Amino acid sequence: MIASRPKKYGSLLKSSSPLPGFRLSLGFTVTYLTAVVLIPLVAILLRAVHNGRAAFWSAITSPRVEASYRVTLTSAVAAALLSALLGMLIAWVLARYRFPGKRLVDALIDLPFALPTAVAGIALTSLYSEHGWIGRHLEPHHIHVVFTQLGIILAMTFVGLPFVVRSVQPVLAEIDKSIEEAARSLGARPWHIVVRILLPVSLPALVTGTALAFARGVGEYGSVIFIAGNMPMKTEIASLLIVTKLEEYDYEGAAAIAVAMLALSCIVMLGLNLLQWRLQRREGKRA
Amino acid sequence: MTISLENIHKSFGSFVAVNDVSLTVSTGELVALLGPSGSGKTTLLRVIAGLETPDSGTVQLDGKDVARLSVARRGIGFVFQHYALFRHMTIFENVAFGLRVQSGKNKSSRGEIRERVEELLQLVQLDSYAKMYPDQLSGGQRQRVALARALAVRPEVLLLDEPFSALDAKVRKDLRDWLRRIHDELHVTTILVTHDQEEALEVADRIAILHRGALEQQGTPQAIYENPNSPFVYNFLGNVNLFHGRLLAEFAPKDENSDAEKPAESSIGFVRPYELEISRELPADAHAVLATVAQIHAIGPVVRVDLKVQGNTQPLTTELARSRYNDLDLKLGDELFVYPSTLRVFNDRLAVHEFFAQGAGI
Amino acid sequence: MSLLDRFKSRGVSAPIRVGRAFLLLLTLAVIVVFLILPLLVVFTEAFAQGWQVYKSAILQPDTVAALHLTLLVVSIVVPLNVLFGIAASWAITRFDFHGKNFLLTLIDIPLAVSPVVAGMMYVEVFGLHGWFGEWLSLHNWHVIYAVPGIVLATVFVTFPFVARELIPFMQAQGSDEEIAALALGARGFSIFWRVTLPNIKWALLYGTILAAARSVGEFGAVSVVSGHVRGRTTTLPLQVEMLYNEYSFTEAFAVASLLTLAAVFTLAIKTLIEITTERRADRDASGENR
Repeated sequence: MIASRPKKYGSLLKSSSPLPGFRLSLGFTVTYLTAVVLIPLVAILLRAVHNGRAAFWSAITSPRVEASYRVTLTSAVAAALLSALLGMLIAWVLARYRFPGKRLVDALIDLPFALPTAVAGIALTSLYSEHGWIGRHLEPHHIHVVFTQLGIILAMTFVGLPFVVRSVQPVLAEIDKSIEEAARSLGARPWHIVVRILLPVSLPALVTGTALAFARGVGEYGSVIFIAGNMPMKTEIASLLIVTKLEEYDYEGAAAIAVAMLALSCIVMLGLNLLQWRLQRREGKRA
Repeated sequence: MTISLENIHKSFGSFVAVNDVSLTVSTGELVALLGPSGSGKTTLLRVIAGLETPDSGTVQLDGKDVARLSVARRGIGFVFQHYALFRHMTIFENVAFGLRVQSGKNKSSRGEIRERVEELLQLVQLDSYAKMYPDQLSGGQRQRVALARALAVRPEVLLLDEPFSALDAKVRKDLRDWLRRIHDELHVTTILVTHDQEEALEVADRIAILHRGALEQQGTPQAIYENPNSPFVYNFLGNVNLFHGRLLAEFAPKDENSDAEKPAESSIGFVRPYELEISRELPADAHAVLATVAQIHAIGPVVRVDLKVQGNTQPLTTELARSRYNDLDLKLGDELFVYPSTLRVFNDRLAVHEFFAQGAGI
Repeated sequence: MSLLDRFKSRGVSAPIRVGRAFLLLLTLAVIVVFLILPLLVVFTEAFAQGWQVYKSAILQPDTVAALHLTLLVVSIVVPLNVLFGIAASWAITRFDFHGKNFLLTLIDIPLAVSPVVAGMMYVEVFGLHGWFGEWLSLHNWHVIYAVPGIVLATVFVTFPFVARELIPFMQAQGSDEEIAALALGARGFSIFWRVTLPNIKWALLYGTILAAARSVGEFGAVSVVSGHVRGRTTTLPLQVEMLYNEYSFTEAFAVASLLTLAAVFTLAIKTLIEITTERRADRDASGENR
C-alpha cells in the first residue's frame, strides 16, 4: 500500500481516487443533508430566539417547563440505568451462551427498534394498568405504574434496552477465548476473570449503549405519552410539552424547549464521540 | 506499444514518492521496476496506468501524451497484488468482464466473448475452473485468473504490481517462470513491479532500479549485476542470502594511480561470496588475509564457509563448489588464506574501481 | 447495530452449568416480561371482542385510508433514502476529502434528536409562519398538515439507516475490485452496477428493511406535522393514537396488530439476512485458507 494519501487542499472538486462519481455523489449527499438537516436545524434555532434572548430564557425556565425537564431527565436516567443492568445481563447471555431458541431471543431484542412507538405505548399501558396482565399483580402491593413516573421509566426502558444490548454484545463476543484461557492458566478464578478482564473490556461499550439509551429516553414520545397520564408538573414529559405548546400556537415556546433538548442531545453526542475517540487512542497505544 | 516517461514527479503531501524519473520501454519488452518498499516503483506504475496523476512530467504511450486519458481508455491491463477478482462472479465471468463492458462498435458478440475467455483460460491452464468462484481457488490460481482477465481485452501494455508477493515461495517461482513463458508467447509490452531481486533478475529483459523515488540504474540483468554503479545497487542485487565479504579500509589499495581523489579509508570494497578465494598456502601473486574457519554450512550444492579474521568483528563468507570443498577437506578452526578474485571498491558512490587478483597491487 | 456488528456477535459458546442456567433463566424472564408480553397483549386486546369486531376495525374507511397513506409514504421515503445511502457511502468510502467527519455527524443527527423536535423543525421551515410558509400558501401548496410534510418528516427520521449500514461495510470491503473494473475499461455506472452492488446487496437490504420499518412506525415526528385530519393526513400509527384517545380500545389494538405484524415480519427478514451472510462469511473464511 502506498504512503497514506492526505486530503486535497484547494480543489474541492478534484478527488484523490481514480474512481468516477465523486462530484455527483458528494454533491447529492451535501445537497440532501443541507435540505433535510441543516436548513430545518437553523430554522428552529432562529425561531427559538425570535422574540429575543429574554423571551427564550423565560420560555425554557417557566415552572411547567422546568417540571417537564425534571420528569424527563430523572426518568431517562433511571431508565438508562435499568437498561444498563438488564441489557448487560442479556448481552452477556447472548454473547457467551448457546441454547435452543437463541436466534429467536436475539431477534426479539430488536423488537423495540422495529415496533412503532405508538403501539408500544398502548401495549405497555394495557399491560401495566390496573387489570392488565402485570398490573393486576402490582396493584395489591400499591405499586402503581400507569399514570406515574414509574410508567414513564418502564416505557423508556423498553425503547432503550436494545441500545445497551447491541452495544455490548459484539464486544463481549469478540473477546478472544485465548485471553480467558491465559488468565485461567495463570490461576485466575472465574470471578476474577469477570471482574478484571471482561467487565473492563465491555465497560466502554456499556457506557456508549447507556448513553444512547439515555438520549433515546429523553426524546421519546410515542411510547411514553399513553402510559404517563401527562399531568402537567407531575408526569408531563418535555416532548409532549412541545406538542402542547404547538397546539396552543406558542411556536416560540415550543421551539425554545426543542432547542434546549437539542442542546442536550448535542452534549450527549459530543460526550460520546469524545469518549470513543479517547478509547480508540488508548487501544491504538496498546496495539 | 512503447512507453515513454519524462521527468515524472509525484509527491503525497511532503513525501516525495517519485523524483524526476525518466524511462523508456520498447514494444514487447519485459521491464522490471525493482526496489525496496517506499522506492516509488508502485507509484510510477500507477502513474503509467493512469491511477495516479503525476505532479509534473509526461507519460507517452506510442508517442501520444496520455495525461488526459482515463485509465479505462489507455489500453492497459493491470494485475494487482491482491488479485482484486470480482468475488461474486465466476472465473468465466471475471475473465469476460472487460469484454462485456466494452461499448458500441468494439463490443464483441457473446460467441466471440466465450471463445476468447476459453482461449485465455486455456492459456493459464484453468479451463476446468470456469464455473467456480474465486474463493474456491488457491492464491496462485487466482493470480492466474487475474492475469487472464487483464489479457482478455488485448491490452497493449501489461502492468503488474508485485503480483506474486502475496504467494508462497514455491508458487512464486512457478508463476514467475510461467509469466516469462506467456510473455515470450504473446510479446505484450510488460512492466513488472517487484521488490524481489531474484524475480527481476530471472524474468526481465531490462531492470530499472528505484531507490527513494529516483532511478538508480537501468540495464539488462547481466549488465546491472556485473556492473552495479552504487553500493545500493550492489547491495540490493546479489544472492538471496545477501552475505558479502566486507573488507576494512586497510585492505583497500594504498598505492593507487591517478584517480583516487579521496584517501583510501573512505572507500569500501565489495566482494561476492563466490569471489572470495581460499587456499591453504599463501598465494604468490595476491594479497591475502589469514582467517580461521568459524562455521561450515555444507547443505546443498554450494558450501558456505564463515571465516573469522583477526581484528574483524564480522566474519567473511565464502561460497565454494562441493568438489572444491571436498578437495580442501576443511574443518572448524582450520587456518586459511583468504583473498578476493574480484574486488569492487566504491569511492563516494561514484567512482568504481575494480581490482583483480593478478596484476593490480592489492 | 449494523450488519457488520452482528457478525462479530456470533462468537462464543459455553457449556451450561448451574450458575449459568440461573442467569439464562433470569434473562429469559426479562425477555418475556419486557418483550414478549407487550407483543402478545396487542393481539389479545385486538381480538378481545372477537373476529368480527376486529375485521370491521381493520376495514374501516379511515383505517384503510391510513394504510394507504402509510404505504405511500414508505414508497417515497425508502427509495429516496436508499439513493442517499448509496451516494453518501460512495462519496465517503471511495474518496478522500475534508469535512468527512462533519458529514458523518450530520448523518447521525436524526438518531440523537427527539422525533417531536424533528417534526417541529419542518414546521419551522414549511409551516405558515415558517420560512417558506407565505410562498407556499401563495401557490396554494401545503406541506405542513399535508402529505408532503409527512414525507419530509419521515425522510428526516429514517435517512441515516441505509447510510449507516453501507458506510462501515463498504469501508471494510475496500475499493480494489472497483479499481480493477476501472482498469478493465468499465465506466462509472457500470462499475457500480456490476461490481459494487452485488457486493453490498445484503448490507443494502438490511439497511433498507430497517429504514422501511422505521418509516412505517414513525409517530412523534409525523404527529407534529400531520394535522391529524382523519382519512387524509393520518398514518397508521396516528390512527392508533386517535382510536385509543377516543376509548375505542379494541379498534386501536386491531390497527396496532397490523403494525405489529409488520414489525415481526421485519425482524424475520433481518434474521434471515443475518443467517445468510453468516453462512457466506464462514464459507469465505474457510476458502481463504487455501
